[in-house]
Amino acid sequence: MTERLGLVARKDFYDSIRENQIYYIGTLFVLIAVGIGYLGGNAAVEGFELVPPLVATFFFLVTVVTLTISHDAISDKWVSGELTVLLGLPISRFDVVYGSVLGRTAAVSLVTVVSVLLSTVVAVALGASPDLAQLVVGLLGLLTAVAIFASLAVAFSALSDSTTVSSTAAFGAFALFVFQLWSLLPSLVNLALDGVGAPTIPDDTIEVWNNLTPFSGIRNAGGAVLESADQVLGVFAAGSLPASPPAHQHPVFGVLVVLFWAVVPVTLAYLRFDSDDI
Amino acid sequence: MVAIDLTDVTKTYGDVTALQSVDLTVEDGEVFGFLGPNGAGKSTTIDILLDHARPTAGHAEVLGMDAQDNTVAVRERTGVLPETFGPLGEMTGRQHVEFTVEAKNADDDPDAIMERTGIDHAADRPASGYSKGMAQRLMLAMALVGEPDLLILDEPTTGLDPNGARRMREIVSDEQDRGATVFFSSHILEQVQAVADRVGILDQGNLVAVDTLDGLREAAGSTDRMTVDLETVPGTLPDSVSGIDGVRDVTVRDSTLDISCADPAKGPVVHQCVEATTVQDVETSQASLEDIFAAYTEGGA
Repeated sequence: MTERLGLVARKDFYDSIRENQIYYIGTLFVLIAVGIGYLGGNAAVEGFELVPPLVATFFFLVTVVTLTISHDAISDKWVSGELTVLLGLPISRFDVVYGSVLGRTAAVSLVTVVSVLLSTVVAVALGASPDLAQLVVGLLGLLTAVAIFASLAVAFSALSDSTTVSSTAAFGAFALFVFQLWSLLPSLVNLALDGVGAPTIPDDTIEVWNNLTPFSGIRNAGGAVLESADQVLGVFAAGSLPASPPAHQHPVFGVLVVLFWAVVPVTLAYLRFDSDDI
Repeated sequence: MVAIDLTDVTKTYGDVTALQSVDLTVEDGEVFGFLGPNGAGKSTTIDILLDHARPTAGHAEVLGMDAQDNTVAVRERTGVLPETFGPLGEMTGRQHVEFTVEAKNADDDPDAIMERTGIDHAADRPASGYSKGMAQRLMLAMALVGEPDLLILDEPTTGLDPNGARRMREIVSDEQDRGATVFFSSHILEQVQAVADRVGILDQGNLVAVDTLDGLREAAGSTDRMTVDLETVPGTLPDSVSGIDGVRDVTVRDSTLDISCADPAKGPVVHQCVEATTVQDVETSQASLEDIFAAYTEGGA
């Protein structure tokens, strides 16, 4: 099983090269990264820190790009008939789903690492001294976001043979987590249930709810190794991360949230896909 | 050994019954032609064999393994040419075959196998730009990788030119000689007639006949044709020929008798004519698979 999982992942990765996606994404990422590195380098003397704005910008970029190139990973193959060919070979549906996640994650991760490193090189060349711990943790946070959103988007793409369904779901994820509509949901529920009366969902429950997003999970997990995790990883996370975090912002809870988003949706989608006729 | 064994397989899609209690056994090493009008359920049957669809009821075994529980193991030993398919992204033809070789843990030479199916000249072009016939040849090349025990070919000659169709028949024959079982679905009856040991006819989800061509002719009551040119047609001859066992119909055209009859009646018919007058010429023809197919699928059986 492992060999063929790797085979599908490699195919998916090289598809992004054969279809020139990686070059378009790479060019966009590198231009923006070098631009930030240049600005960061020039502003270094005034105490400007390179890593937080670089990571914040790339959280936005990797989310958009990963959802965009992954949302039709399976549905497009379904529509085009490629899935019929793959599943005529000794390749399982498990290989197709998880291989797609790995392949898409690898493609976006590669251009992300190259871009962030280039940005750092430019900034250093101009005299900046980026915080190495921030840089490493920030990069790990970005790669985690890539894995989560590749996993989510592939999950959407495995739900049906309609690319409309998968692209709508991908946009929904973007709106929930980047536009942070997630944090509005409890308020909407309260409004629907109680009008202007006493809210059904109390504030402390809402606080926990807000820390269940992928970005909050990444930020809270990063708190274990980086004091300035809030500054580096907190752009789309809920609230702020105190020095002594409560249980729902504890790094272990953050890791569990990250694992949930990376594993559970795609596994549920795989189970559904595995029982579908194609 | 049995290559394919369907037991009481039913498949429904909502209110539509695609397959109805189908029982089918394909023996190891035979070429089995699977016929049916459009929408009869041929592709659904193949989808169940490959676990692309799950039966609503019943049980399917391929190469002695449960088709739904051991799907990867089944496909390790099976070569598939699907009816509808798409290229693997922007891979070239050779990359398609290389991918298949790797997926099957085989050691075939991609160039040799592509030469065998006649697509070697386009090996380095992206398969997304192939014509339908070229794509069929590529899919056949992929199906042949790893010397599979079972070949499942769904409408394999669609889009092929006459040379391609002939090469397809030769490959089917060669694969049978190698020991492979070939399950061959088609609506092009001459292709099936040319290569199949046995034929199954599916109609509206029901398997209405499974037999050799001769067996189907007999069971369907399909008749052979005879044309007997005579010097003259004596007035009593048509009636006496009609009375022969196995003769279904006699038509007089000038000095010619057009007779439809079962194969064993041909001898007595000629004998009767020789007794009555001078026979100048006799032509006979067997019922074609098309006649048999029509008999089973248009209510003529």
